[in-house]
Order: sequence, then structure tokens, then C-alpha cells
Amino acid sequence: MEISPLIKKSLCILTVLLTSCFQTKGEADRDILHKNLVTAIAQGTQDLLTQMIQISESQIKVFEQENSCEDLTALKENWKELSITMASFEPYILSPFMDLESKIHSWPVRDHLIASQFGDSTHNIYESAPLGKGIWALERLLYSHNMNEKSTCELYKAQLSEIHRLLNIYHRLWNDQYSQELQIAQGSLWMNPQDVIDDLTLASISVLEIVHKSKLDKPIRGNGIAAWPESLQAWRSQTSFELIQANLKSLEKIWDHHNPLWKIIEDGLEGQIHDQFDHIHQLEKELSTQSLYLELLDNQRQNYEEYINSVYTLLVLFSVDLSSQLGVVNVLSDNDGD
Amino acid sequence: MMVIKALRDDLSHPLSIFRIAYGLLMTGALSRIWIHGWIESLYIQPSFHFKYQYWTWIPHPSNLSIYALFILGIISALGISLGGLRKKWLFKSSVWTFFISFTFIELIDKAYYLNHYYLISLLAFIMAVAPSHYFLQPKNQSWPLWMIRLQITTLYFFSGIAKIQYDWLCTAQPLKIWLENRAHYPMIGSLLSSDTIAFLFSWAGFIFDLIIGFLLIHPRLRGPCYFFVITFHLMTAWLFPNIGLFPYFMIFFTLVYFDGGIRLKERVCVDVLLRFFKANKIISILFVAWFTFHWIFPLRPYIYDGDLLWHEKGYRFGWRVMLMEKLGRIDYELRDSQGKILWRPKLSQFLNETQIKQLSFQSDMAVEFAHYLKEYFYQHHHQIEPMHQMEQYQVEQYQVGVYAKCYVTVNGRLSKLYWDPNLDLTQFPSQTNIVGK
Repeated sequence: MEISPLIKKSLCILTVLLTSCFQTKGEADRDILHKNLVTAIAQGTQDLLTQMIQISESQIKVFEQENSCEDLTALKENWKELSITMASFEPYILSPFMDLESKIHSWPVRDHLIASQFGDSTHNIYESAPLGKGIWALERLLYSHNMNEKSTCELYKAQLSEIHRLLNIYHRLWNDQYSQELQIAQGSLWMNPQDVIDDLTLASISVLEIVHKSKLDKPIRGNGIAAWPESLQAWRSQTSFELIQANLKSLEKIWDHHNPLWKIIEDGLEGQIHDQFDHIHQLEKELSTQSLYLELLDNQRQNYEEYINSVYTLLVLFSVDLSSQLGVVNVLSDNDGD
Repeated sequence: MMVIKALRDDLSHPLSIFRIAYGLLMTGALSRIWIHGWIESLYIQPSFHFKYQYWTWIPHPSNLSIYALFILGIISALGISLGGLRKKWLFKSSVWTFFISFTFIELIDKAYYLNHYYLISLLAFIMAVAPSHYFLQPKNQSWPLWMIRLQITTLYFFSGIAKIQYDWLCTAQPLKIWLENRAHYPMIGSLLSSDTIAFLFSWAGFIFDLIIGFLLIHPRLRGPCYFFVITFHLMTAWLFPNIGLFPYFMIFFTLVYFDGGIRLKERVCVDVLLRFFKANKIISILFVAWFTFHWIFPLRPYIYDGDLLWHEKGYRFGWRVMLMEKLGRIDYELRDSQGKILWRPKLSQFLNETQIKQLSFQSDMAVEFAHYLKEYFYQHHHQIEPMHQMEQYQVEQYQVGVYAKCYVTVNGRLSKLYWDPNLDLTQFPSQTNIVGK
């Protein structure tokens, strides 16, 4: 059967028109989407890394001037600032930063690993196990009864210097390599823009998972009958709840209305997630200003029941709904394949 | 000369071509699983495997036996491709060995169920039972060839039938979600994120599946249709890399529709087949019975109420391919009769990522795993945190229940609770689909 030249021509023109129309809109949208997403991640990462470096640096300078740990209040304030900034940084921990996190943010620390560093002048913190160093080792030292002793103070200074050194390394890596790779998304870290989306979403889920399971559910619900206050992340400094709030606030900032990913997500989910964040913040306001640790010591857990459930709902929205729509969880049998 | 003539003869008959393609593809597929280290991660590392209903008696093979099964599968697949070197006993023993080893591997764990693995087992069974060993099919013996053709047509047709549902035709889901995530593809990536393309692909896929198996039977349409088969499957391979070898299976399996050399056409035409059936009542009854079963069995979900994509009752073995983007989350908790939380198991301690994903939205698997957790808890409770904090606790004195909170989303709809989290899952018999009830 011969197709008439007129039909052939018309089909060609139609195809070209359709293709060009789709390409103009789609390509522009995608480019902007990736650019905006990277800008948001880069800004947050850069700011928080710089802040942490400055906080640790300021204390190191104080140590240089007064070679002692006598001003415990100032030290505790500095530590708190550092740990809360780290909590804000957690949702920004993309795959290249995993290593940094394990080196400076592993918890709960092991006493014997910290103890083994005392009095050993040759001991290299660089080589010690992650659960014997980092921000949580600082807390352990800071709230121990022998913080005024010289050896403890020396160890504190060494630990803080190590954190500062690691933060600088990662800051340099971020500026020289990661941020560019993130923008191009064609390298070994992120092979395409979808990898960036996957990485960011998984980081968010990981934060929520830890907040729900380890920071709330385990210490507060305990065995269902009694709470386990000493399972709280920062029970010594009694800042656990503030750190959780910092985690969630930072997460909310990443997924605020400006996040370009909402443009490719089915209607409804964005509103649902934002409503959930609002609900959580409302509960935070209603909860007692007394430390969570002290409340758990009194077994006053029931106040937090709704809060835990709300965080769980948020976790479900991220790990089920958002992941599904962004195609984040990929296993062998996806798309009925292999 | 003899070898060239034999090869020419082999390549001139559709059944021979099919045997060669099937054998080589299966050799490649099984070797690929081995090379990627999937024998280890899928069959050896997990400490629990989900059994198929009615096949719970299948024992879990030892590590060595699993490797032996793969070796047997690879060697026998090679035997099939060589046509048993034209020795009937060799071909038959190859195809039986392949059927048993491959099907055994598939029956180890239903978390890895795939429609095309089911097809591979069925095709192996057809080749094993039917006289498919001839290198040149004798006159009047074309029914094995027709069985293979109709089996492949059945797959296409029923995967088309399965697409007659709201999500696929009216909302272009799950393709809309999947194609959106391919927007970074070079050249046409931007096109893929458009809703129009998602609808176009949904409807094209539906029509393709529904009619391609029949069009391939028609001698005049076969050529152009095969072009569509190649285009369609290569496109799915490119768009959905996770789909693995399925597109290549279908590209090569559909070669079986071609009649080969002109001199053979007479032997494979429908009239000859019907004449043969009239003369051979038993074979014709078996032939009809086989396909009656295979045309009714995929329709069984229609007897159940509710949304099939949600409850998945009768979903497997029904040629339901790429119908849904489904994801869930399941959190187990073991509690005693006093409400004391005894254990929140970490799934990755027992299962791999694929198993966890499948478990999170299939209630029959969730119930089966709940039974396992209870059993495990009774045996190992003294090693489990937080049980070591309750030294005086006498597990035997209390009734332990296994509860799970499970949220599921299908095709972009907001997630919902899959079942009542206050249900003790172990009160149901293992493998019960509690969502379909």
C-alpha cells in the first residue's frame, strides 16, 4: 500500500512539532529542577559545615589562650552549639559524607574506648574506633565528674581538634570536588540527577528512621512498661529533645515549598507532609519545657506518645509515599524484572 | 559438510531455532545470576525464605546444593541449545533436568517470583513432555510447536487483559511515575516526563499485549509485527533497566512464530494440526485441557472482591506484568499478653532488600514471617535485646503475639494502613492473605 506524499509530509511535520514542543518545556523544567535542588543542598551543606568549623575553632582558640577546662559552662555551651549544628546537618549527609558522620557522630559512645585514651600520650585519636571519639565522646567527657582533671581536659582538647581537622577536610572536599560533582551529576558519586534525588531522599528517611526508632521510640517506650531514659541520645547533657527538634527543623527546611521536587510529585503529598510537620511543631510547643530525660526518669512517657506517632507518620510519608513517587527504592524485582 | 547441513536444517525449523535460543538464553541467565553474586545474596545469605502455598514441603537446599542446582541448570540449558546433539535421550534428559533444577530454584522463595520465570518453567515442561526433540519435525508432529506459540500468545494476551483497569488506562499509572524518573535520559528524557507520553505508552502497551500474540500467528503480518516486538521490548529494556533479561527472552522466544524454510510451511499450518488432533484424541484432549487451565487460571482474581492491586489475591501466575508501583513499610513488634514489648526485630537481620520490599506489601508473606519471628523468639529470646534486661522473664508463662504496623501505597495514591496493627498475625494460618479477606 502506497502512502500518499501529503500524509507523509503531514506526519513528519506533526512529529517535529510535537517533539519540539515537548522538548522545550520538559528540558527547561528538568534543568531548572536539578539546578534548584542542587542550590538548596549546596547552600545548606556549605553553611552548616562552615558553622561547625567556626564553633570548634572558637573553642580551640580559647584553649590556646587559657590552657584549661575550668569554665565548664562556656565549654558546655560550645558543645551544645556544635551538637545542634550537627543535628541540623544530618539531613544533608549525602553518601560522600557518610564517612564523616561515622567518624564524628557515632553514638552511643563506649566508655572503655574513651578510657583507653587516657594517659596515653602516644595514642592517636585518628586511629581510635568511631565509638570512642567525636561529638558524643566530648559529651561523655564534659559531663564526667573528672572534667577538671588535666588528663580529661587534654583528651577533650585532642578530641575537639580531631573533629575540627575532619570538618576541614570534608569542607575542602566539598568545595573542590563534591559540590561540582553534585551540579554536573555525571561522575562517580552521582551518575545522573536521579541519583541526587535518591541520595537526598534516603538521607531524609535515614534521619527520620533514627529520630523515630533510636531517639524517641526506644528510650521513651522502652519495653512498653518502663522507659529507658539512658537510651536517649544526649541524656547526660539533657539536650536530646532539642537535637530532635533541630533534626526535624532542618529536614523541613529541605522539603519546604521551595523544593523543586514537589513539581514532579502527585498532588496531595506535599500538603500532607507540610501538615505533618506543622502538627509536630504544634506538639513540640505543647510538650513540657522540662528535659525529656527528667520526664522519663519520672516515667512521664505518655505525654510523648502522640509525638512519637506523629514522627512515625512523617516517616511513613517519606519512606513509602515519597520514595515510591520518586522511584527511590530499587531492588532486583522492580518493574517485574530480571 | 555434514555439520553445515545439520546447522542449516536446524536453523530452518522454528522449533530448532527456539531450542537453540532458549538454551543459550537460559545458560546466560543462570550464569548471570552466579556472576553477579546473586546466588549468595538471594539464596544463601537470608536466614528465612518465603514458601509458595502448597509448596511448603520444598526443602531449603544446602549451600552446596544450591550451587549444584545452578550447575545442573547451566549444563542442561546448554544441552537444550545443542538439541541434545540430535540424540533424543540426551535432549530429553537435558530438558527434564533443566525443568526440575530451574523450577526448584524458583520454588525456594516466592519473594523472587517473576512472570517470565514462570513462563520459562512452563516452556521447559512443554518441551519435556511433548515430542520436541526432532531436529526436523516429522509431518503431523507440529503440535509441540503450536503449544509453545500458544503459551507465548497466552502470556501476551493475559498481560493485555490485566491492563484493563482504571490505573493503567485512565491515569497512566504506574508508567507516569516510572517515566518521570527517567527524565534525565539523553535526547528524549524530557519527552518522558510528559503526561501525554505516559498515556501514549500505557495505551500502546495495552494494545500491543492484547493483540501481538495473535498477529504473530498470521503469516502475512508476522514480519512487520516482529519489528514491533523488537522495538517494544528494546524500548522497555532501555527505559526500565531493572527489567533485566525479560525483553531479550521475548525477542528470541517469538522467533518460534516464524515458519522457517518454505518447504516446512505445510507442516506447521493450522489445518495439518487440526487433522492431527482428529486422529489423536488423547493428545488433543491434553492440549485443550492444558490451555483451558491456562486461560482460566489467570482470571481467578476476578472472583475476589476489592482492588486486586491492593490485596494481590490471585496476583501471581496471572501474567500481570508492570502493573503497579507499590511500596510499603512494615514494622514488627512482639508483645506479651500484658502488653509488654518484647522485641522489635530488625528485618535486615533475616532478609535481603528484595525480600523486605516484597514483604512490606504482601500480607501472606507478612503472616508467614510473623510465624517465623515467634518461633525464633521462643528459641533465642535470651540473646535478644531487650530481653537480656529482663533476666527473670519467663517467656513460656506468657502468650506472645506478633503485631505489625504496615503502610502501603499503590500507584501514587497516599499510603494507608494495610491491616489493623492490633491483630496478632500469628493467629492466622501461615501464608494467609489477610488483606484479601
